[in-house]
Order: sequence, then C-alpha cells, then structure tokens
Amino acid sequence: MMPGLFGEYKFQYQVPQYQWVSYQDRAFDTTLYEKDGPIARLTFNRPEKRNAFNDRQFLDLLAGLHRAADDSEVRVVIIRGRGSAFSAGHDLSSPEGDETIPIDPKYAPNVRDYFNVERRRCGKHEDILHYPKVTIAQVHGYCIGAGEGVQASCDFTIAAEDAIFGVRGFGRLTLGLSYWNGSWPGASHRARTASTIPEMSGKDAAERGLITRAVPKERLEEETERFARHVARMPPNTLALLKESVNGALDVAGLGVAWRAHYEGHISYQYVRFRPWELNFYRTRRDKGLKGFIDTRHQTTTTETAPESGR
Amino acid sequence: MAEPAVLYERRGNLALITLDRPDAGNALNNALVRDLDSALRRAEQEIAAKVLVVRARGPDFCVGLDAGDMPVDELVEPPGDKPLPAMDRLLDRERRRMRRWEYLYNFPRPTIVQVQGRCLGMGLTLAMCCDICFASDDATFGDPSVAMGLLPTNPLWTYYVGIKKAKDILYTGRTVGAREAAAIGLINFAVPRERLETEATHYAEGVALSPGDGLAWAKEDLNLVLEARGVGAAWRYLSQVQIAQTLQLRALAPEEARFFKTLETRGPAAAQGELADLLKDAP
Repeated sequence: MMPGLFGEYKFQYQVPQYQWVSYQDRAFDTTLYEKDGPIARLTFNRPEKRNAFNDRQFLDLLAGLHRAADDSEVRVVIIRGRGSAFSAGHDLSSPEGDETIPIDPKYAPNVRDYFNVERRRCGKHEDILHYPKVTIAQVHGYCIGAGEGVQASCDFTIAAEDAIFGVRGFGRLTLGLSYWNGSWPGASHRARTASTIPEMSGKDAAERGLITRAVPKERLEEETERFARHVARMPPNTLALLKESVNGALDVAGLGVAWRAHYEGHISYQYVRFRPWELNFYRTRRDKGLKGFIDTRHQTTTTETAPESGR
Repeated sequence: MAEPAVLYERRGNLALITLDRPDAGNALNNALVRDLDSALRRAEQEIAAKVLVVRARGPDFCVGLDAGDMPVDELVEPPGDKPLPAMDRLLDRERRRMRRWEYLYNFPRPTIVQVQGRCLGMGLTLAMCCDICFASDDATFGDPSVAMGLLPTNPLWTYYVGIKKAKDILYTGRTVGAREAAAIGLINFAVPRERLETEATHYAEGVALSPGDGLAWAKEDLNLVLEARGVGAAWRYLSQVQIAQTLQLRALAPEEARFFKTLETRGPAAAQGELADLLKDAP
C-alpha cells in the first residue's frame, strides 16, 4: 500500500472526530480533564507554548469531549487555557508529520492529499460546533487562529475584557478565513469588519456581538462558572434539541457550504504566488528559521509594506 | 482473525472494494460495516488510486441490514422497555450513523458502484452514495424501511429522482427494475448481466484517464451544488427525524412495526417472511 501523506490519519472524518478518539487510557496531560458535578472543564495545559495546538493537544481536547459526552452527569463543558493565554493558534514548532498545522510544501501534496487532510482539520471545528452538550469557551489572553476557531465553535464565549482575539494566518497566509463570518450570519457585516482587523479585545468582540460577553479579567473564572451553573440547571433534553435546531438554522443558511469554502480556501492557498514584498511563511522559515519568521512577520505586520509599484 | 467481510484491492489507477458475504446477500452486519469503513479509509490514503469501484460478490449486491445479526450502530433502538436514552446520547448515535454515508457521498475521488441482483434498504443507500451506478438489467432496487416501521436512511432520493418518484417508491416499498431506475435517474446505466463487470471497469478506467486532482475538484464542485441546495442540512435533519421516530417506536399503535416485534419474539426468518408478505402486492 502506498502510504498516505502522514501514514494512518490521526483525525477522522467518517465519524464525528471526538467519537473517534478514545479517552479510556489517556493521560490528559496536554489538555486536563476535570469534572465538577454537571460541569466538565477541559484546560489546555501547555502554558510554555501559550497553548498553541499540536496534534497531541487537539487529540486530548477531542478525547475530553468524548469523555464528557459519554458521562450522563455532565451537562456543560468549559474549555479554557492554563497560563497566560487561551490558545495562540497552531504550534508552528509541532512535531514532524502533525496534521493540525498546514501541510508543509516539502511533502509535495496534491489536491487529493489536501482534501483528505483539510476536511479533517476543518471538520474538528465543525464537530465541536455540533457537539451534543453545551460548550462554553472561557477566554483570556491570546485567542488566535486555531484557538479562535475553537472558541467560535463553542455555544458561548465568555472572555476577559483584555483578551486578544484575532487571526494571524501565518503572516497573512490565511487571513480573512475567520470562522466568525460563517458562524454568525446575523452579524456578518460586523464580522466582515472584524475580520479585516487582525486583532481585537474581548470588550470589542462583545460589543460587535461576536462573543457572548466580556468581563473583567479577575472575575472571568467566577462569571463563567455562574453561567455554566445556570445552563446546567436548564432541562438537558430541551437544550440538546434547541442546539440542534439553532445549528440547523445556520446549516440551512449556508454554513455547510461556508465550511467547505473554508477548507477549499486552504487548498487554493498552496498555489498562492507571493509578491516580492509579501511574507511567505515556508520560505522565510526555511531561510531564517522559525524565530526568524516571527521577527520578519512582526516587521511586516507593523508597517504598511505594499509598495505602489510592486508589479 | 475472522475472514474479512469486505475485500480491498488496488489495480492500477483503481481502488476496488468488494462486499464479500455472498451467502448472506452481503447483508450489513457489524463485521461488514467495520471492514467497509476501514477499506474506505485505506482507499482514501492511496493517492495512486484515482477512482474507487464498489462491488459485491455473489448473486446480490446487498439486501440491506442483516436482520439476524443487526449492526448495533446502524439501527435506531428497537422498541423495548429499556430506559429512554437522553437526547444528547441519541443525537450522538444518530450523527455517527449518518456520517458514514455522508462521508462516502463526499469521498474525495469519483466512486463507481456495480450492482447485480437485489440492492435494498441500506444497500441501496450504499449504492446511492456512489457517484456513478452501473447495474445489470436484472438488478432490483428498493427500500422496505417504511414497511418495517423505519425511515429511509439518506436524503439523496429527492435530489436524484424528484419528490413524486421518491414518494411513490418509498411509500409503497416497491422494487424498481434496473431499466426503470436508469430512466428515473436513480442509477446511471443498466447493462446486460454478463457485461456488467466489463462495462463498469471500462468506465472506471476511462474516468481514471483524467488527472486525479481534476477529478477530485470536479466532484467537489458538483457536490457543492447539492450542498448549497441543502443536502448537508438534510443529512442532519434526517438524524433528528430518526430520533423522533425512535421515541415514537416506544408507543406504537398495535398494528405498527410488526417487523421488530416479530424479530424479537420469533426471530429473523419469521420477520423477513412477514415483511415479504406485506410487500408482495406492492404496486
């Protein structure tokens, strides 16, 4: 058998992905699992990486969702991060062969490789959106890229006022494909405005209707818990059906097409021809290393760089 | 290790998946469903395989669920006095059930299915989730779900044959011959039995002459049209209707869903017999 790009896939598409990941023998070290009555808390536990996702952390998150789904006492799941941030996005220093970061061009992927991998990458977020219990993202610090995708897929987001939401997009590689656009059609014009702004605070995001509410940082934990306890007292069967019907309305409004347009956007990006002044993540990483890329990105995103006569 | 119920083979540009429970009419049981899943995953990762061909050994393509050996994840809970599962559990289970077929429908390669003999119920869902269907002209297609007190398992019917034909076939549980099936758009081609394999293989090889990436895009492009017309939402909505039906099965009117009552009390042969009796006069 010809091996796939990464051998056997770690993430699945045939079943909702959290159902695929077993939790029975899992250490839950990169994402912690705690149960407190009707509340399950999933806490990203890689503060030294600002909880940026590698495969292992994402698989722990999915396993935690699986475990909470199977536990009939659990009614609401809180997702949060330890340390200074909720999640800084994809971990660009992920181990070789990880699937959650975009495919490295050195694998010479073709379109079918991309279909296989991209729908798994995007499907994870889709499955969190359609998770059958209530989910709350408790956000502080950075909530960027893949982390932003996770919070946007939760039913509620309660954020510290000074949290930082945004899409860095590997130095603009995928900027503009924010989940917000598809997730909340009612707020699409606000979202469109928002997605052209690389970063915004929790307070701004709440004012734009993109998250549930923003609270002072020192009260974040307490407010989230209060919210969760209230939700946990609501009739669970009714909530499960309500969530289905609300998500169904989004589906009919075109969310299914939006997800697919999103992963096809990722596929198309492999053919982007960079202008000389534009930042190419892979080339810069190859020439200057990861730190060199981050420095270069910092320079290019803090100045207006496109010259008048670039062609 | 048990004999696999599904065979996988790559031949040149083609990945071939063969249902291999001929003595049971290739009915879906746990083993067949599990082996089908892993064969599909394997085909998906084989980049050299541009086109997937699904076929079956024996006189029948697939007669549907195996009444004597029900695949546990493939059926709504039959009526019983078990405690009512919570709604989130039911949703979880239904989504899992539906997802397999939606996955095959969106499989990122052209898929060609080759059908002989009976192609019923879940077997027809399997065939309908493939892109191109070749059938021998003695093949029969049908879905006896309604007569069993169940719901048909895929939302593709109305998109393929239109709502009038879909209702006609599903309400009555009647079977449709290959030529009629081709005429109404349920399948693509009806061919003589002895030419079935040759025709389907030639077609698959012909499709595989195009670049694999182009084929993947073309399929996505076409499937997106149905996605935009709501088929994705319909898959999910169908899960909810299935749940409503699961709950309804617990409080049946006396004459309803005899199939499961008989299955429970008198076994699969009696249940199948009753079903055949009920459907024998289908128009």
